[in-house]
Amino acid sequence: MNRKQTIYFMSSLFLIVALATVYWFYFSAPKAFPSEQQLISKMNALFAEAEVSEILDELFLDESHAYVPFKTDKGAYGSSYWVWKNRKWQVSTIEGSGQPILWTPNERKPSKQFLVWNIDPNDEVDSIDFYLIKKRNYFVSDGIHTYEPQVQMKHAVILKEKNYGILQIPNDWVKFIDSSYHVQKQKTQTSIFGDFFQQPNHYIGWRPYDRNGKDAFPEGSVNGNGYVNFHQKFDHVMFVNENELE
Amino acid sequence: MTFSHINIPILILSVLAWITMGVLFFQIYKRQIEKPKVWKAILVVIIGIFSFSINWPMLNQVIKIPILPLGVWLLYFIYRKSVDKWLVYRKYAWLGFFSGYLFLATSLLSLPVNHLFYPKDQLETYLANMENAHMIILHPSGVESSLNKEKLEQSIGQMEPSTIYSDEWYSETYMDPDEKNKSERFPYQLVGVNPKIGSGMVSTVYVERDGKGLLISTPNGQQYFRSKMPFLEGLKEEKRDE
Repeated sequence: MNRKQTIYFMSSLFLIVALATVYWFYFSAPKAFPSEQQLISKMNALFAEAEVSEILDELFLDESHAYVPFKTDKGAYGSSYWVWKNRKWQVSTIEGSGQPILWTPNERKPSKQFLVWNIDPNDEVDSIDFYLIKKRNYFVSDGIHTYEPQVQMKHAVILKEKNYGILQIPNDWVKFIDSSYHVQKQKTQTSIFGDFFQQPNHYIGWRPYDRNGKDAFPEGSVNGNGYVNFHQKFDHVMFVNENELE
Repeated sequence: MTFSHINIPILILSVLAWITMGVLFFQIYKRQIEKPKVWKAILVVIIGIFSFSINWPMLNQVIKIPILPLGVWLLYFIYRKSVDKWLVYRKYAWLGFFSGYLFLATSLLSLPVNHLFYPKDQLETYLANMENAHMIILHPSGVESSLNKEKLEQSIGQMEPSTIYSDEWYSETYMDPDEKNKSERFPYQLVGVNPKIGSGMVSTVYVERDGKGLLISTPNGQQYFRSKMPFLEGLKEEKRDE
């Protein structure tokens, strides 16, 4: 081999190794989830205020995202969000309370969303109705009419013995969200304010009930401090009042 | 963005614009006695594209009109001390700026072409393939009813574009004395339908509660179509579940 060939050979070898390393680093399958003790110590090291004392469960959204509801020393119920990132299971966010949150693990798949919750048992919530809502609306500009129908879809969850859980949003919701997302996205691309992506204006809400089917007021589940380690897409799940429903 | 969202006329016109660029580039190169380095010439074209332009909204599309050749000025500044080199590369810089107009022509041309192949007021543009079509209920005033695909397919050619009375539809909901059980005029969505091939059309298709109307939301506004016969079955019991 002459010198030039050697250089080519070495640089292509280097490139292959580099690509393989990058692939391994970012795309290799996640390994075993940390033990409960490891989870607790990791969280308390990052966010001492959390005072995590007991792991309630490990619920996997997919192979690289997990929801871990926990209990604290003070008897509060909280949420933690774990992501397989840079070859490690890392906690994205620790929440000191367990009100429902909408988690979108992959922002490129905006309709693959999960509701997660860890309701304080002292709040005596027996069931939850989740809603996908879009408000009715209309516009007229230059004689061109637009009418936005009201969307109100419901999914009921009964808590039974478990006060925590995850729920991938129902298929019908996904279909509606997907189509309005694509319409909205293309509208943005052809608008004069090109870069500004207007989020579709639907939202997901919840309505908790007690044993008698009356509205519950889950005070213990909504007050708490949080700690953000790195970004994931979380959306607030709003309370839905009875008078908002049709 | 998946392949199905690509508008074929725009794609073809863009490819044609790039080919035109290539041909012009080659023509300039062929006629030059003193040849430039090809990779440098390509770089100059790319820098030449850079311009100050006006974004003009026209018929639901933004038309970009290049005004100031910023890239050409920059190159002129770079080559200010070597005039003979500038003479070699100047044409490529202006070719870059000119490409802005080429793409402007592309967008202008795509409008009538799209109108020809994918007319907005024809239902087939939005509902070309209904093999996997089904309905979902979006609102509690919708009842469990089933889609009669055959009837829908039959009526597609006959459905007529109709007027959207958005303000009336909005307010009639609130005239309902039954505060808690409001009726939505469009309580269903038709899903699993594909638009005409190559249109790149995305839409949300709402179905009217009498099973005779379709309200289609697209990035460029809405279209409303009415049929003479209903294409939903099981609508008779106008009752609420809750």
